[in-house]
Amino acid sequence: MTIERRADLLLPAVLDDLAGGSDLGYVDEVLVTTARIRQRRVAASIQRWLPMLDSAGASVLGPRVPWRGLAVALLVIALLAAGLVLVAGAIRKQQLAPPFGLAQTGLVAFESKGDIVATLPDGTGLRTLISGPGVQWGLVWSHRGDRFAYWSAPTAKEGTDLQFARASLWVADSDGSGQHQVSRDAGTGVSDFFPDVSWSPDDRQLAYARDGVLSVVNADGTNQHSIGADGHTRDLPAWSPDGTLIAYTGQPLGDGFNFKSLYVIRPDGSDDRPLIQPEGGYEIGSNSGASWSPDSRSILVHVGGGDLPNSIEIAHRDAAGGWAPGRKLETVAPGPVQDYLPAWSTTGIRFAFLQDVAGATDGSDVVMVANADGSDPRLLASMHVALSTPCWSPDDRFVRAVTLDGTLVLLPLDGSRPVDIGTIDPGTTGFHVTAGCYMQRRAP
Amino acid sequence: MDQRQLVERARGGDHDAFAQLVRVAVVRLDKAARLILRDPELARDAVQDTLIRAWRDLPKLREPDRFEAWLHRLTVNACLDQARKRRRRVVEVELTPITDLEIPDGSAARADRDLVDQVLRRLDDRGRAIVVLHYYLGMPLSDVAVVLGIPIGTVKSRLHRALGEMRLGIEPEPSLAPATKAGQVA
Repeated sequence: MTIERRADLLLPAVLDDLAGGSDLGYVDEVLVTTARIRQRRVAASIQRWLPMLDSAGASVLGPRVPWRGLAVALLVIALLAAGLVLVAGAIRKQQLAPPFGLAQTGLVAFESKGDIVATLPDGTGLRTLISGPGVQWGLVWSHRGDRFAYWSAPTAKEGTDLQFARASLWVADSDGSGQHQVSRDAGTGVSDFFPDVSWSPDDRQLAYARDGVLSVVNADGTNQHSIGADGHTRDLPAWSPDGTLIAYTGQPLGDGFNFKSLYVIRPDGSDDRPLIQPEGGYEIGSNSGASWSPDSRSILVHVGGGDLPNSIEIAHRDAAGGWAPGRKLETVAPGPVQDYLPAWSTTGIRFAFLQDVAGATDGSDVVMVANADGSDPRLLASMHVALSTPCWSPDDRFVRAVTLDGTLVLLPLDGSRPVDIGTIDPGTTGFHVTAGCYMQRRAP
Repeated sequence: MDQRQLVERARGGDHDAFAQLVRVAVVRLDKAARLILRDPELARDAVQDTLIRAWRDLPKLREPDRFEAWLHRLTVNACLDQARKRRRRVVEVELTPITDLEIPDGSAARADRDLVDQVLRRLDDRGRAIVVLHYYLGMPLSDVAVVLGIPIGTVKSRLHRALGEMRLGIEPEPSLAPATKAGQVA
């Protein structure tokens, strides 16, 4: 019998017993009070029923300019400057870091007993990259694959809730050497479930979030600074491949649960704005993080809550670099399924996501793959997997998943037999493995 | 009169209908609040806040069939508000056992109860809310996500974490392990 099944049988009665008998004498007093209170009239604000982008208008789609004259002047100056640059022949295409597109798959890393270990993609050659004290987790490889970032909580114990552990961000070379602390200090509030760190495309900087504060720091630990004004929290940063934007999930301060939505901000802290916010009454955003397409023109995000099923939305940049409103990808499987945790493939022609198994009581999921436009969603493998953000191999041939017994597997896109990489951490729930992508890029 | 009719009448200002709804629901709300907050006084305050807000905001409820889920949501939010107030106090309120009721069916049941009690103590308020909504109020995980306003993925992860803490205590089959072992926690 599974632990979930036993919990189903055991917990209701135990909880009822644990709550004890209720003294409900106060209820009559409350009803006397409510009888004297007038009910509120139904809110008439039409904005509540409109998509956020429609109701927010141009301020969401572009910067609000308070003085038209100033805008015209700035435009003229900008045009003149652009003309001068063109005449001087100084314009160049942005030099991006090379590793966008296919590459070989290098080491596959994962957490085991609080350490970070790695194997070759065939599951052989197990080695320890980072070893104690405490717990190390959330590894994210740099784009070139020569370094990785990770969180370290020296006083934490494996199996505990790492969100309450004091953790700092570290960077190490690909073989685990050269470890150095990147964040100036240690603090709580790092997700142990979703990636809370993202490399800039040139691998020179890192964006990370801790306790709702978004910071940018050089990979050598210098020039750490937070970005974004007060007003809402910032978590789960995702640096766009073209380097111009950092996507993150934000939540208004003082709002304990609701209205988490997707924002974008420039790395210098400017142009901070919401991008996708679910519409209507109870609907809220997602905290599963965003996934950029390799060309930085589209972004996928999970949206959950409200009366809608958990689903995946996609937003596209238009030709001018603005954003079209989010478009929900339809859930295609029959029954009460939920789609979440989208991850764009290396080449950008498809994406993977998890889908709730209808009727499953153990909370298990399956890995699905769909084309970039959401068409042709299909089951990648029939095995049930644990909740774990899918991660594509650099050669786009595999998707990393975690089985219900904690085995890290690579699911081949061609449907062939999954490759067992290793057991995450027997004896714990193994959820720490979900934070970060664990496959190293190597030169093709 | 069924619940939907009562809700519609209460939405229209019928306080007697509201009182009927409250008397049916309040026992479970009170127990759920006590489980989440682990403090009977705070739980009572939370339920009071819930009922007042429910009456005041009932006209805004769009779907009468969702009344219970809505009420659960209000309760959980009121509990979390109370928890936030508790955290702001200079002197932290001691989390105490809720009750010392005698368990008639022996040591195994008491061991299970003690284990769940210990796990609930270790969880934060949100974690307890998820356990209570799913296992005590019987909500599907997708509805828990709706009520708490968080993604289902987060619900699953936190529930798995809570179950993981109970793993050592309740995973062994009764036939394979002594009954007293069920109460041990690593």
